Amino acid sequence: MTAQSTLPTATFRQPGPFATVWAALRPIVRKPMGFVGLVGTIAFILVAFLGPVIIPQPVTNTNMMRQGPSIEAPLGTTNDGKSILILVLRGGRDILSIALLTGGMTTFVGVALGSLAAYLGGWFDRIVNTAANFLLGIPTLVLLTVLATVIRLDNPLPLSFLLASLNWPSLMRTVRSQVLSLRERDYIEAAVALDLGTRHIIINEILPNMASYIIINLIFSITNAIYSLNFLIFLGLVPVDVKNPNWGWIISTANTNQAIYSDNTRWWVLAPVLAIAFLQWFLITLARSIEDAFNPRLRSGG
Amino acid sequence: MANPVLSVSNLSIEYNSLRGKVQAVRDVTFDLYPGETLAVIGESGCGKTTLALGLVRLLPKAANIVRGSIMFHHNGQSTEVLDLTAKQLRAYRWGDCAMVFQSALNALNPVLKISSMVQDTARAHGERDTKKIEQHAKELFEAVRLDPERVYNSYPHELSGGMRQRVLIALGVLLHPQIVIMDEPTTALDVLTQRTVIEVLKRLRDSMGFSMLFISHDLSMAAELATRIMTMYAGEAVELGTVADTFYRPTHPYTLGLLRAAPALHGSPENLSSIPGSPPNLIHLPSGCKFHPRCPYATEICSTDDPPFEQHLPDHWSACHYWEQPGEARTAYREELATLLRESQL
Amino acid sequence: MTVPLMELQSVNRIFKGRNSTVQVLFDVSMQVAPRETLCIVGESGCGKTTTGKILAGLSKPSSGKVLFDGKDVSGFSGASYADFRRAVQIIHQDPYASLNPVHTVYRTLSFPLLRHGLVKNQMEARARVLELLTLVDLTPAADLIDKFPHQLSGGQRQRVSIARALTVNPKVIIADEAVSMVDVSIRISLLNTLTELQKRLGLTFIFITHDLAVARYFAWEGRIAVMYLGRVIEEGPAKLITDAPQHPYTQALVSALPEPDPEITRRKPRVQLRSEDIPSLTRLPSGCPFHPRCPIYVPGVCEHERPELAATQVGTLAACHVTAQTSHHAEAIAARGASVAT
Repeated sequence: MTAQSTLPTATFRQPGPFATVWAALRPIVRKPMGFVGLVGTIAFILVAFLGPVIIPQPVTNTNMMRQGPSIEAPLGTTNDGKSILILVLRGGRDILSIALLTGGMTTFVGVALGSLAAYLGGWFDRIVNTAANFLLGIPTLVLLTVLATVIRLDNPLPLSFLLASLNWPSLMRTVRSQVLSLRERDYIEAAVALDLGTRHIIINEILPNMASYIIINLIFSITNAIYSLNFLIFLGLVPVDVKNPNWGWIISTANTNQAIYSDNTRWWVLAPVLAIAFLQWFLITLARSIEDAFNPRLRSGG
Repeated sequence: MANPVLSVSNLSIEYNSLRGKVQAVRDVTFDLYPGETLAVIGESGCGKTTLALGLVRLLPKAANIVRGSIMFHHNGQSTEVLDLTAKQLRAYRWGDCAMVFQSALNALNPVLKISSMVQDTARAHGERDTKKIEQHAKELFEAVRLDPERVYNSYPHELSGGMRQRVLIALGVLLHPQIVIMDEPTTALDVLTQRTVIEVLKRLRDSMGFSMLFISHDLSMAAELATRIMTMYAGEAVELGTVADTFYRPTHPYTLGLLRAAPALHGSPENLSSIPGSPPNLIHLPSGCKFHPRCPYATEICSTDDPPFEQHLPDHWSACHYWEQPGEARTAYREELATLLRESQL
Repeated sequence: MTVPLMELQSVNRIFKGRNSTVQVLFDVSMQVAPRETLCIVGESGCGKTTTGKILAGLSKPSSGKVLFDGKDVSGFSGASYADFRRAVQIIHQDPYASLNPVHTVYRTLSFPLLRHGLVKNQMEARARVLELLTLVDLTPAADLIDKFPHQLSGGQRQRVSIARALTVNPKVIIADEAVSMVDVSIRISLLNTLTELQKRLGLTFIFITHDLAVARYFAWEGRIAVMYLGRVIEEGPAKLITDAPQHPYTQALVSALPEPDPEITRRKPRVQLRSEDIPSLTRLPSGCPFHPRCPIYVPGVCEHERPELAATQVGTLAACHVTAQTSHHAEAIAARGASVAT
């Protein structure tokens, strides 16, 4: 290297977006659990959103009522002769869209309030904590039940908003305690001394250290939302499009129609239940493998 | 010299890590004699703690002793420590060879009183008489300059760091072991507390007559306590000699480097200098002599031939092709220093 | 006399816990002139780290003043505060905690450059970062600039910390045990880098350490202030403090420190302290805080009245009744036959 080398402008290239995503995904995908979790989750999302678009709406078929599994309907048919398999393939959209929206909102609010409360302290911290403690004391599902009888929860946005506003406190608390400890780190103190500003410190210094933690909590917010949502739907508290039923509604209908008691219609209940269960399983497996990949202490091998 | 109490030959320990095999200790050979204090000096990553853990076989699962032998000689009998069964090993540890860890804060169970720990330790080694154990422990606490009554009945968090370290030392010598291994006994202690611990160690050693092997990065500690010093670098022993020989006539450039890099309360700062570069990667070690990339005396041969650890002078081993030169450099410095000290009447 | 660049005037610091209140600094006053090196030396609990944080503006005193270039820091706001904030930087002890693990060396060093408009764009930032890395002897800079902290050694990380502090062109650097957690063989080289920077850039250093030998080396042409239980008990030129300590606590420190030379260290006269118990900050001794342990304790004097910093015979300042040149306890001291060890 010559002493007077002027820096050529082309030598430095920021890694492209694909490279960064791949670098983040690689440790997860390398392990079988992570691979399964990621692929399963993506598959579910694709089916849930593309299903209603690709697969045509099933029509009532009086010839095929309450039939067991057959070639035309591999999982049997409902009271209306509709194929259970098709209903399930088309029934994930509402659930997934509301759950993803809720999860996103919960995580955003929880992270924003938690990190600001921890970093700024003082009165802001006190207000946020009081609000959180208040909300945490309320039994969520009971409140939702009560509210649902008063408000019409047919729009996904208000529903998500409602669910998120009841779920953010516990995430906020865990984020807050994490940030409280990160705040004491030497490199944060250095950032303060360098006058980098609160916004920079929270977004560029603190949150990146919690990235995997935030993603995992996002996933758990989604699973929580799925449970709450199905509970509400099952209780009939959420207006549902009967022609395009979602999984919760399928279960509810199947139940009302005594589907469990007949061998032929067993899958009417089982299929949506298993769909929900598998989705949850894929999500949780993905979350755990992210935790595994990013927590060096959990890595085996000394 | 009398017969050694511990003979270590060609001890090699490796770790399995995600990136490859870490050669933490390579072919270390030395003897430990009765009543002597051997200081193992080196910096982070030189293998000294791994060596100490290996001597009492407390290595983590990821570590393997791949080669070598550790012979313990006592009462005319010689035992191969690497062949001991689990039961024999427990008797050996603490009974014959005790280890006092660094970080006294974490070594004591916070929910147990000191008295419980004393009794548990003694009982685990077959002592049943609680009164006798208590008496003995209190005597030892006295010897390490702790208030016996107060300390015996307290919890670890009620004691300061220096006091806890002394409790650990007393626990270490409770069963009159032949050998006491101490890992960084005074790191993390304040200067005045450190002085107390040093004096306590000297007293115990003189009165109980055990052999002490202490691990440290601090040459000054070796200057205080050691009869012999072994310097380690990149997993190898690079020099072994008496304390005077090591300090005044070193035969390895790394030892000389350490001596030159130690600030003191006397002498001019111009004489101090660092060792350039940094310690090698223990997975991909350099060829030839492991120190050669940082050595002021290195030549062609140093990068190709790994010098064997040999005895070049009476009681003085080292692994260097140019072993005479560090001593010359040191002598010149010492002469200057002696003049300076005479002039300042230190 | 030049105006001191940084000054503490009678600073007290009290920490209020839920059930307890602890005062960790008592009436601490000190000054640092521009381009000077001051080492603050003491054992754990003496308040040196808190003092460092107050000097760095990261903590506020409970009472007393902090002056920067002669002006009270608490009066700064807006632009003047921003100037002060950037003029005083800090280097931490633990190389493994001082850098954000998720950012490369480049990112860590470019943030302050870009934020404060010291460079116009990423290209300029890149060039400046390379310059800074070379300035702190991190070479070859091009190899290290895109590395993450975990890929660097302890010594290299400390150098990155120094470079980071230099990004905003500070006037004062406060180093809190900056070499304590680094291998002994590279401490000297780190300290030499700091000294070089001081000469080149005209920096003022406040170096906090528990190691008197390191303090002596680094502050060779500067001053040392010795702290004990939240007070400054001795102060003066570094060479004098280590060669001729006046305060019995400093003497105890000097005598207790092991030296890297067997003949010297084994023959060193040891100061015997009266007691080994270290008083806690919540139950301080009356009068002189050192009196329960002090070998030259004068009964009737030392436990009743706390000594102020006063001139000693060698020209340093010490808070001790016995060493003070004009002590109105002269009779009592003479009566006890106390001798002052030089």
